[in-house]
Amino acid sequence: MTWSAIRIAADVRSGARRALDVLEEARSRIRARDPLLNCFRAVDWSRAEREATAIDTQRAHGLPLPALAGVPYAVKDLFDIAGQVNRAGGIVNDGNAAAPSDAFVVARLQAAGAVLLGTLNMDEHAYGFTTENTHTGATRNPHDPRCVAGGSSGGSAAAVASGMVPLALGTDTNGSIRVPASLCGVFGLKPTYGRLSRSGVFPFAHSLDHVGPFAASVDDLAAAYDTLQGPDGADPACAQRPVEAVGAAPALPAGVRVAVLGGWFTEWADDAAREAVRRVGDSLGAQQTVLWPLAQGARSAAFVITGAEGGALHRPRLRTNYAQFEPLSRDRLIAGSLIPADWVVQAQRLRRAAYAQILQLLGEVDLLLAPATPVCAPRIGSDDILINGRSIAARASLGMLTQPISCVGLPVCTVPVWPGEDTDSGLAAPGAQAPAMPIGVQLVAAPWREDLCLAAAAHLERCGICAVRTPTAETGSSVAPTRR
Amino acid sequence: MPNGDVRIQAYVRAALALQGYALDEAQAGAVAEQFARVALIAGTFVDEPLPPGADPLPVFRP
Repeated sequence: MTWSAIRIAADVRSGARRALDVLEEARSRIRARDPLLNCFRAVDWSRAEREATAIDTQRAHGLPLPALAGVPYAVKDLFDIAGQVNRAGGIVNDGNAAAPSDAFVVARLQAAGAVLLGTLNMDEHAYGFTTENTHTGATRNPHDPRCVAGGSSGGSAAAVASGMVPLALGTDTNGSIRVPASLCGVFGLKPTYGRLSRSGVFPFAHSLDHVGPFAASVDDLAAAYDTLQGPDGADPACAQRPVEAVGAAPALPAGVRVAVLGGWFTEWADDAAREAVRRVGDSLGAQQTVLWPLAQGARSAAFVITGAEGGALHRPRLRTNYAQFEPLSRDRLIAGSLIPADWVVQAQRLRRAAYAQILQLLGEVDLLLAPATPVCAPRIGSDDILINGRSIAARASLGMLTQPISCVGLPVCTVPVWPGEDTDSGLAAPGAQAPAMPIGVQLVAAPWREDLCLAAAAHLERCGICAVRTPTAETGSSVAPTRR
Repeated sequence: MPNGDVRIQAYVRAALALQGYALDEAQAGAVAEQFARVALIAGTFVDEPLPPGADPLPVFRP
């Protein structure tokens, strides 16, 4: 079953459980579930035991415990961990120097008492939407292990969905938090660009990279987000803003104006994705569908900027170590390094225009809704996905509904919906031929309004429209999940 | 700019040489295929007229 970070921390603070006992349960869960799902790259039990012991010692001495005391968590394999090589999902980085210190956000979690277990599988260098890593294997979807977990933070989403950890960190350049959150059925937050520091995080495309948390409940997500906030001068893009804590059970303001994004976001969404948005829209009182005419342009701009920035970043070693790079993405990276400068400049200018256009929309409404992925999780190894009768490349296209929004840096909370289930019973719809699978809906707000995204997510969770379900796929069978 | 377009093939091979890559023919062909996809997407906006105020943003700050 999934885990609650808030509950664990409360138990540890009260003395109902020791942090070391929680860690032992995490060890048991990982040993039982990870051999099938392949979420973890590495687990550092020594460090985890040190951190858990420190928490238990603090309590034994009567000292106050921090907010996430004893909460186990893990991070995508591109966050610096002191003394370890940051591999960013690639064997080409095996010879790199060990990180001298923890990434800024890892240090924040440690200061909050959380216990780091290890690193999680990903698409190499975060360039992919499926977590089918040739060198480390595919991460499997906890709700149907024949299917992908999404990517590039697939290990993070699947580890939370399968209950191995209550919290995980990922990164999102074009959708790498929102896509796996959607396909694995967990909550994921991509904050405003610049909200969270990326110091000590292996970069992909600097002008698009974000970090953010995954969790099995909105309260856990908000607790992690509040912990991760804070200015950091070491990341030039990190906003020098004070912490704007959301807190537990954020309430949705009265009179909040909600609209569904149409056009691009409807054309490239199948029936399940549209049904998920309909349910969320009904619950939030969405009154209208609005168009963002430059959505496709923003997606195209993100594609070109990502290719150029990522290609430039890796070009030196692509020239010398081509064979060590991920076969599924190395040719895309090289192609990116060949993009003409005027295409990139035009993409950046288009980005400005697209941003101005969506800000105008967000002056008229408070929240915009869109599917997070065009479809539910495709099978591992799928080259193509079918969207409304059109076959397109799976690995490049699962993020086509997330890319426009990250291109303009807006905050998004992805919430899990189960469109294949009957709303009232929580069971697979009558006549369903396949297990119900989750799909995410993006709750998009104006810059710096993560509080609104999380308040809407909390409302949906309270109403039962969105929920993280316990997978029953530990043995590889696929069974319709049941309501928690 | 469809895959296999002779301009794409020529551009990719020239740019690979300029950037210092030493790929074999199959590898260069695979890069050209990916570049054709980028070109197809870029082709939707590279000639789009934009207002003068739409200045580029090297580091994006919303």
